[in-house]
Amino acid sequence: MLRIAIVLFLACSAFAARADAIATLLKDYESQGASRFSAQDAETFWVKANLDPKTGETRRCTTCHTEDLRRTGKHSTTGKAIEPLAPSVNPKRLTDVEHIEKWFGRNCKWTLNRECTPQEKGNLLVMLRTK
Amino acid sequence: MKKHHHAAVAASLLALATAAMADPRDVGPNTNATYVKECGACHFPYQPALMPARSWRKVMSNLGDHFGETAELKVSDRDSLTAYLVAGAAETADNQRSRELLATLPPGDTPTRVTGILYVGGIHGGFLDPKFKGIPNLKTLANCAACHPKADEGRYAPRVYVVTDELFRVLSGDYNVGF
Repeated sequence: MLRIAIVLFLACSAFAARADAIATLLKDYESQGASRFSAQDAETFWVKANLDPKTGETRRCTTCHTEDLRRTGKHSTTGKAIEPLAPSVNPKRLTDVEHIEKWFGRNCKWTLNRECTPQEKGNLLVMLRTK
Repeated sequence: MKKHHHAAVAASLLALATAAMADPRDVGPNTNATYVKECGACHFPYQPALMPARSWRKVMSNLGDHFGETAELKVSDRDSLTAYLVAGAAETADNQRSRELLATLPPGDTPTRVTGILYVGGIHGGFLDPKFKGIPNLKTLANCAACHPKADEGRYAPRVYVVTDELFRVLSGDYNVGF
């Protein structure tokens, strides 16, 4: 019984932390001019191929995170495991504002050779939270 | 007086415990949780004693292009991790592995990869050779723990290898380094 209570408590606190983190970021992106976030746009963005001019490689979000967000991904160079992005299987995801911004910063540059716009980041959060 | 005595005993016990933990033969484990978390997110978190301070400074001053990727950190993290790496770097570390490693490094050379040091790169270069047919399954040499099960503890001695593939064993022969 206690175990069930603890599991429920942890699930709820991750849920609350996620709602908080996403709300904070979306507000932040709106203050930078973004609006009407679209999960649909993020789905397209997620699989879109981008040519890296330096290496000639084709890069997508799915290169590392795989086609299925509930699966464990893989770092494209080192092969290191990347924990699933879908909160439904990995409740820690999208709960930490600083962590989210750090990885948007790094991964947008790797994948797109530029920063993501606030609109794109908001779209992605709105899409990812449903997974 | 008695209090002083106790303090002295406690201090010597602590010194003994610390000495017992430090392995004079190998580099030992990481002691900085932020380093393991931040750097270990993408690759094996190489212990500071595996490269000289000048190498760590060079790596940490160019995180915007970290082997073709952005590995930028908060300035405060970058600075504290640089300090951690420099403080524990090979020339400061008191162990046989670091000494052997440095002995193969020309003084003017500042590699930014652990495998850029002949002692490491020379031994391991062949293991990415296609004739290993991906066994052990290494994409790069960034995953020390794939073959060195005690790598997290900073122990790389051949006697603690786990390499199950027969071809790998044959081709690597009985190459013996260190102890």
